[in-house]
Amino acid sequence: MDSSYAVQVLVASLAFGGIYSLVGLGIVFIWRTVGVLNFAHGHLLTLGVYLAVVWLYQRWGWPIWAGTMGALLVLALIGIAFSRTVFERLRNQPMLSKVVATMGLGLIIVNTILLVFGASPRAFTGFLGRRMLWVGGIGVLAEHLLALGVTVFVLLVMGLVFRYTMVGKVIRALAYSREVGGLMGIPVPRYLAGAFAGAVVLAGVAGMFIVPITFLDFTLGDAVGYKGFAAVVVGGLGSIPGAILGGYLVGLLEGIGVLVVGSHYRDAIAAALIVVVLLLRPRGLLGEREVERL
Amino acid sequence: MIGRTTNRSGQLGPLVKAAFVLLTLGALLVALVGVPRWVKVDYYLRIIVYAMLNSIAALGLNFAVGVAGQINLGQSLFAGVSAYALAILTQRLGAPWIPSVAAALVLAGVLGAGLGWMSNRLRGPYLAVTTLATALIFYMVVSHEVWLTGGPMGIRVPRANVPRLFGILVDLRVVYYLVVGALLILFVLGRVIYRSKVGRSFRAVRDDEMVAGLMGINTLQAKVWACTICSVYAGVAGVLYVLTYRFLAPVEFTALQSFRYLAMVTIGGLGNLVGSVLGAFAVTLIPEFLRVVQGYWDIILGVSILLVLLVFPKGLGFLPDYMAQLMAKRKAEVRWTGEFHVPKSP
Repeated sequence: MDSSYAVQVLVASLAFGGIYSLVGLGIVFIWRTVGVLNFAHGHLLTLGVYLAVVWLYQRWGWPIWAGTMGALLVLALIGIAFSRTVFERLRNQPMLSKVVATMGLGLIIVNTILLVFGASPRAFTGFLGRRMLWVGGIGVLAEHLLALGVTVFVLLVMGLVFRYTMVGKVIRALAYSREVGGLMGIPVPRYLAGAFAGAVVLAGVAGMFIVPITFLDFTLGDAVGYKGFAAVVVGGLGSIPGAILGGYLVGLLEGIGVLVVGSHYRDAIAAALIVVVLLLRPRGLLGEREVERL
Repeated sequence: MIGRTTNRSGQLGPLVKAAFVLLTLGALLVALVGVPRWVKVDYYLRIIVYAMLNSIAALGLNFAVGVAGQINLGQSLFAGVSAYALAILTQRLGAPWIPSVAAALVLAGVLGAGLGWMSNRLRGPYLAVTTLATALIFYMVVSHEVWLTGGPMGIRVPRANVPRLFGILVDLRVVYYLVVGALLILFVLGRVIYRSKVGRSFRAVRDDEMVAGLMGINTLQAKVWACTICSVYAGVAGVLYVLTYRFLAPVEFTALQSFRYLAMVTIGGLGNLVGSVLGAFAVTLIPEFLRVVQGYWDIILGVSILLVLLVFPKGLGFLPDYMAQLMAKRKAEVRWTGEFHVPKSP
């Protein structure tokens, strides 16, 4: 194993890590605001990629960026609709009902994908194709660098929005307490729907960058969903910096793990990480001591 | 008061109710005993057995999810672990059947207890994540370690290896009675647990963990017990699955199957034991006998989960109450939550 190979693995792992961070961030985001672990997150991501790549780009011949925008819009609308109908109705029910509802949504989405697009995997070469960049004699896939750049950019923009805008302030208030937020005059259902839709759009962005690295089929949502949950658990459930750190850690460990145990156990590495973290340090790396949220 | 079928508030009288329950139970028992005689085709009998196996797993899952409020996404993991343990012990290692069954059940129970303990050291729905993750690891190991599990080709139990119980070959017709027996015993056991102190502590933990703790309930212990009961029920289903199909493949024990169990429990009514059985039968039998819906079945399940949660949060299990209400003189209002409300007399 020479050093150029190691660098390639490192870049790919960081690209994966950024993607997992986005997925995990969305999950934490929904957990902190709506108060639900969203088990449809990975499936929504898959749906977005199918819409953008297979439907709008390949079938309708839209440019890929327009297809991506269209798919993200559809994801946002689904998120808003689901939040306004289901979560709104279940507002006073225990968390259990809401979580089961997200599983119902996941079941619907994944089987609709299977029905409409079939089970065979689809290829998508990405925004930049298979172009390589040569840095000091080491070749790196441009797509990986793009994924890395875009995820870092999105994370930075998210951070700025949270810190400096009114919307960010409102969302932080709701994450602290929905009841108090409502008493302060925040139109809570509208903002919760917005937060849910925003998190789903983040997943959609992540999906557009993960598919060129792996491939696209209806089980993608399961695999990426696990990685998102792994990022969340490793970082500490409920912690936003934790989810980002966790995502990168999961990506890196997965890269190393593939080198060590081989690629057929790739998806089990994140799962094993969840178990190990819960055994050794249940509250995660950056988790608060009390993570309950009812 | 004898001769009146309803009491003052319009409910059915106790005598009529007892007669009704006895008649129903009697008819059910006759039907259960008669099924293997009437159903000549093995294929259909096997589907009925499969529905009962699913009922057992769903009953167990309902203990974790519906009664104790623990979101468990690994019911197919527990069933798979015990099924594979049994198949590997008896087929690969040539161990005798009865100790192997015991070992398989213990393994499922220990795994359930371990995951329950591990996930509940912090408050929060960690159990959902750990069961999902462990199920994934299990699925990958089972599909890749061909030397042990046969990989995607699965493990077959050849006819020569089928066990004998008291000298009778355990073929499908015998398995049917075993499964009926197991379902009845586990159902009654479930009701006993539900009404016992343990069951009450489960419900207390589900409804308000903090208050339950203040009442002196060891909430961690209650949650671990709920997970253990859940996984042992799944283990029984897994063991009987091996005897029913004599063939195991990883594809039977996926996350999708766990979601189907969850659909059975939700559609039947969270926390409602009769509902779990009804839900399991509905979810298993409808696609078999209504071929039109087969391709869309999982979508229909997803939509049904949402509809049940939004429209009848109590699920299918409240149908018996509904029937009783139809026969009562004074109709109760059915609220949108699915609860009955008998208006007070003016």
